[in-house]
Parts: sequence; structure tokens; C-alpha cells
Amino acid sequence: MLKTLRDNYDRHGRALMNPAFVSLAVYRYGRWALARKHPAARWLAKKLHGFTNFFVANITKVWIPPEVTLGDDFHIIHAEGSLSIHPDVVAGDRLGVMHNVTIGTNMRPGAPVIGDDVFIGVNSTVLATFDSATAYALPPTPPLRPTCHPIPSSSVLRQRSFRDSRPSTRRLANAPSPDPRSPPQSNFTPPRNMNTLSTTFYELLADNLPTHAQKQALVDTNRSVTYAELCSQVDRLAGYMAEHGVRPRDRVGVQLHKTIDEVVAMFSAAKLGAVVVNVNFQWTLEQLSYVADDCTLSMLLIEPRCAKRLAKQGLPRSVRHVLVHGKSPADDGRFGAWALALDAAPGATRHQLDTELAMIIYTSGSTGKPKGVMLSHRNIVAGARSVARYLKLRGDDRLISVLPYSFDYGLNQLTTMLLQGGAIVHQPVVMPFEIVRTLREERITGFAAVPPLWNQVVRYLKEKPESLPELRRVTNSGGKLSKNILELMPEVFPSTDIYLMYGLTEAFRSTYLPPEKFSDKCGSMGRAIPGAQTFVIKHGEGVAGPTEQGELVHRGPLVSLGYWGKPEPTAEKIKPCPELKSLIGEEPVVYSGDIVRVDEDGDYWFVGRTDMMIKTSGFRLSPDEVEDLVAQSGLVGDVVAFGVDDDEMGQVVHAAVSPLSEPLDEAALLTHCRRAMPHYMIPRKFHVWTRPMPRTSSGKLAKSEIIKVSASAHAKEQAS
Amino acid sequence: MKLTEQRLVRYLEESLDLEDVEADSELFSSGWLDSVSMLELIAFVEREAGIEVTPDDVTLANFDTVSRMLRFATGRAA
Repeated sequence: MLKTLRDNYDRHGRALMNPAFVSLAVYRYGRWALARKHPAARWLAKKLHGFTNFFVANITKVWIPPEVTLGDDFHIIHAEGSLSIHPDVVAGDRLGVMHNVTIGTNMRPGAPVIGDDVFIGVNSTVLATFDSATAYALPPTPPLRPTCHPIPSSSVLRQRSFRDSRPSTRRLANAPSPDPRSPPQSNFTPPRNMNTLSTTFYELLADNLPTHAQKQALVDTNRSVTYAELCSQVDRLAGYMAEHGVRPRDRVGVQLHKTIDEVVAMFSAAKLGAVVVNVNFQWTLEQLSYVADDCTLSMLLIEPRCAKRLAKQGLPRSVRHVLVHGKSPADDGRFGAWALALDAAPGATRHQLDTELAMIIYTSGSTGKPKGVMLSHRNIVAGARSVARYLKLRGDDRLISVLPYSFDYGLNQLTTMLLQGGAIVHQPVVMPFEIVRTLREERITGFAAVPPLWNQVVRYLKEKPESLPELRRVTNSGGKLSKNILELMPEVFPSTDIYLMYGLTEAFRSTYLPPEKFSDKCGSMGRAIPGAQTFVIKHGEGVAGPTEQGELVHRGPLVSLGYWGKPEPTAEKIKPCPELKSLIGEEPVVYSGDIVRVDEDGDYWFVGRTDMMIKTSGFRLSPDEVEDLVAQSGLVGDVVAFGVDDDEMGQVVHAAVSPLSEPLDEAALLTHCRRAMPHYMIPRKFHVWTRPMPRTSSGKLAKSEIIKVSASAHAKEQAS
Repeated sequence: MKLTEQRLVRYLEESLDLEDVEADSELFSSGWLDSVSMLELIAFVEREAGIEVTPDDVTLANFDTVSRMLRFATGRAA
């Protein structure tokens, strides 16, 4: 014992109070105590060893149980943080351990053997079945021979060293092979197709490794990555985040340009069990700071422009570190540069429940401050499964991603492709010409957009028709398409399935209209998506039947966890429905706030919002209805109808319009309205917008803002 | 044609809230400008340069940077 102790002393800086040496001394003493033959001596020696716990816990913070067998050259590099080694582990000769390391296992029978040259990075967990991604698809890498300080820059190296390690001199005779990739020696063979088994957001990505490691996963304008490469980058960035204090359940803010790196950022946080908060790229620094304070972000991943401004004005209070997607604006440890982050040692996967919080999506609130909708892993995975099912998505699909990942509709494109092992092609440029070029050149099979974007793309394709034989499906959500666009769609997409869909962030997606019904039911929302249930409720009466209308409510695994830090608005939005008590009891459902009509076949049609209805001369009027009819004139693009208080009528209808060609022929527009509408519906006034109307960050018309501006201009006119 | 580099940069910085715009800053492929800003920018270029921009003019080659926009507008106005 004394000789090994002297070795340890020599190797750990020749200082008696070196914490690493002290921990090892305590450990050596524990081994010695365990070996006492006389029961009384052993009891006494072990008691004394237990007493040193105090010393270990408070000064060295490294605890190695004496049951553990350590290799000859065992070396503690840094004795800060805690170290626990599972008693069954047999550590090899040259095991090096950095700080905050857990080596543990219970994953399969038998004691795991850590090979000679394995080096465990910071904040890592080594499990018996390895968690790292990259092992499946490796370029040949020279085996690593670390002695003391070098840290392998990626899990690739870690896994290589597993495979290339010499047989350990201390391996137990009955220990299983350390290489989980050699099935004949393994007593557990994982299923090949793991995708169907994904339970968490992170697993949606990582489960592609057994079968799709070499498949293309993401495509940027100037580069692309395979699943193996993507996972390897996620491993390293996760390590960097852990090094900079990101813990499970911490919120990590991501505001990045649509690139592969944005996806890496989200999954790195997810791997650690942190909550991903993707903030819309178009949001201002003020909005980002609001989000940071609202959900107390602990780390931010942002573009250099934003970082520069943050460096000047100071970080939001909760933010401990900012990783800059480019050069760091300051050298003070608050900011780090992306390139360095990818040199970090891999971060460990945290075991998570599928009911835990995975992500917060801030809704671009049309009223008041944005609210953070909390999504569980189950919400996200169930959404991916349901949509992949009804859109018939496959592993050979290639979806174009124009919509932001901060928007559930855009995020779902990514999760469905991960689920099926398909590819996502990033399209940050919103020009119709460039979108159509990408559709053609990248042989895109699926395209998702929101109404304002469809308006532009469909009109463009009408003028410049393009045959897109690979395009299997296009989808709309996030608002109703106008009749003109709906009618043009089969013309510009003759061989493509057209899906109309409906949902709200609080329950992601509720209904869809199958493409075979598109021509018969053009404009309908269809019915509930697979795995979800919807009802139309007549308040105080019951469930609406065919030809009736009421508020849509949503039940099932997509019902979100509510709003972050806002229990009251949550309880208003997600609550038991008295009209459904006999069917589903007290189970909470999402109240959509949307009025829909049920037709004879049970398909839904959007009528309007519960809270935007215009009441005029005794009629309840949906603004959407007015907007549709005004738009049919063909004279105006965007239309927003709203009610203005009126002494005689209660309210009268006004409409803000953006002319398709200037100047607007108001007389012709009015003539059209007179022909197309009942009298009470005809707008009393058109507010002509010569500038484009403002939109929310998800691309929908910012109706409340448009109404506010138009109404106040109107009030000023009245006053003067 | 009233459109100059200076006016275009000032418009981008003042009306579209961009910072440090240079002649070769990539405005669209960097994701700085979204579809709403795109429509506003096109309207501005049409007005200032006295030209009409059709949807298939709106490409990265013509609109991604200030210098490309000027080259496009000058060519069209001539």
C-alpha cells in the first residue's frame, strides 16, 4: 500500500494536501481496510474510513469506493466536483478522469470493463451500452493514447479508443466484451430500426444512427451533413454547454439563422436534458431579452450581430454564458466562439421522461406579451408520428424548410424527417424565384407554407409555370387560404397532393383535409388528425352535430403543458369541458377559441374567432367571412375586417385592404361588395394600405396591429 | 434615378432596422430580411429607381446585396 501511495504522491504533484492525492490516499486506505482479516480490525478500520467521508466530501470531493479496482496508472487530473464510480466497474490501467465525471452502469448483466486508453471527458457519463452517436459510422481515426492532459475532441475518438484498446490486464474473466458493436459477443442486440422506438426529442435524432448514419440529414446552401456527422457535432456542443454550466431542465435560448448549426444547437441542449427555447430570428433584441427574463434562460446561442449589441448593453440577468455563432465580441468569458465549442469533449445523454418539458415555443401574441407554450417530449414525438402518418412521409422524402423552427409547424417538418430518416433542405431565402429553384434543383418532395407565402408562390407559379414531378405534397397551416389561391393551387401543382391543415400552438395540430377531398371540400379544415380527438362545443348545450357550429376543442397527446409561468391563462385555455363530462370526465382539453361549422359529413369549416366576431345590426359576423368576400374582388391582396363601434348599428364593418395595383379603384371594389354580400356585411370604409401590412413573426397577418393603426387613423379623421 | 448606395443603406438601416450595412452585406441569404421586409424593399427600389420589378426579377443575384441591387436597378433604368 505504501508503495502505491508513494506512486500516487509522485504522480499528483508531490504535495500532501493535493486533493487528488488525498482522495487516492483515502481510497488506498479503504482498500487496505477492506482487506483486514480479523473482523474486529476490519470493522474498526472501515469505521475510520467512513469517518474520512467528511474529509472527502468537504475538501477533495472525490469519492472512490474501495470495492473498485483501479488500474496501475490511475490518475485524477482535477479534484473538483464529484466523482462516483459504480462498484462493478473495472477501470483499466491508464484511465484518466477529469472533473464532474460519473462512470456508472446498470444497463446489462455483468461488469463493464473500461479499456486501457479510455479517457473520460468533463461532465460525462459512461454507460455500458454507449450512448454516443458517432460510433456507428466512423472514418478511420488513429487510436488515441492520452497520458494525462489531452482530451479527445469528439466522441469519435472516445469510441475508437474503446475498439482499439489493448486487452485489459484487469478485465474480469466473465466480463462481456466492451465493444457493443460486435453482436456475436454481446448478450444484448438492440433492434436495428430504432426510429419507431423514439420517446424523446433527442432520441428522434439519435435513433437514426443504427440504420441511417450515412444518410444525408440536413442540407444548407453550401454544405450538408449526414446523420452521423450531425450527431457528432451535437455530442461536442452538448459537452461545451455542460462545461458552461447547463444542467438538466435549464432553459437554453437559441436565436440562429436557419442553418445546420441551428439544429445542432437545439439537439445539444436536448441531449443534456435542458429545455430548448428557439426564439424567432426576426425578433428584436428587446423581444429576446423579454424571453430570457420570462423563462430565465441560462445560456444563449446567437449570431454575432446580436452578441455585439448584448456585449454593449449587458446580458439578461439569468444568462451565464453566450455562445456566438461566429466571432466573440468580448474576451471576458461571458462570450464564447462557435469554433471552440466544437472542440469540447462530448456531453452525456440524460435519461428523461417523455412527459418532461422539452421545449418552449413563444407564440407571437396578437395581444399582450408573448406567451411561452410548454411542449413535452411526448407532445413533440406524437406530433411527428401523427403528421408523418397522414402526410405519408418516408425515408426518401426531402422537405424544404422555409418556416422557422421557432414555429411548431416548421419544427414539425424537422421532427417528421428525423422520425423517418429523411432529409431537410434549408431555404432561408423567402424569394419565390429562389424557393422554386430549390424545389426543382434539390428534388424536393414536400413543401409547407403559411397563407402569405402561398399567395406569393402560387401567383409566381401561375405566371411562370414549373413542372415539379418530385413534389409529392404541399401543405398549408397557420391560417385560411383565400378562395383565389385555393382555386389556383391544383393548376400550379397538377401532380401534387394538397393538404389543408389546422392547429394552434397549444395543441400543435388538430385537423387536416385529405388531398382526395380537396376538390369536393375546397377550403374545409377536414377532421381530427390521427391520434387526436376534436369536438365542436355549443357552450352550455352540448356537442354540435352536423350542420351546427360551435367552438373547437382538442383532446389527446398533443395537448401542451400550458404557458410557462402563467397558471391562470393556462387554466383558461386548457381545462375540463363540462359538455364532454359524460364522454371523457374531467380530462382537460384545449379550447381553441375558434368557431367552426360541422357539415353533413362531419367535416369542419372555419367560421371565425370567438373573440373577433363583429356584431352589427343584430348579426354576429365573422371577419374572415368578410375578408374572403372582399378578396374575391381580385382588386386587393390582404384584407383585414374588423368592427368599429357605431351608435345605431352597435358595430359597423371596416376593412383594411392592400391594393394589388395602385391606385385602388374603390368604386369597383364597393360595387363588387354590393353584389357579393348581404347589406350588413358591406364595409362602411376601406382603409387603404399602400405599404405591406405588418405580419407576426410566423408570417401571419398581425391583425390586431393592423386594426389598431386603421382604427386610430379613422378616429383622427372623425375628430378633425 | 434617385437610388444611390447611400439612400439604400440609409433605408435599410432606418426603415428595416439593420445595422452596419455594407455594399456587400448579404441581406437575404444571411436571413436578415424576411418576406415582409422583402416586399417593402422591392417597393422602395421601384419607387426610388422608377422601375418595375417583376417576381422573377426578385432573385439573390439581383437583390442579395446593396451593390447587386444598384447594378440591377441601373441596368433596368437605362
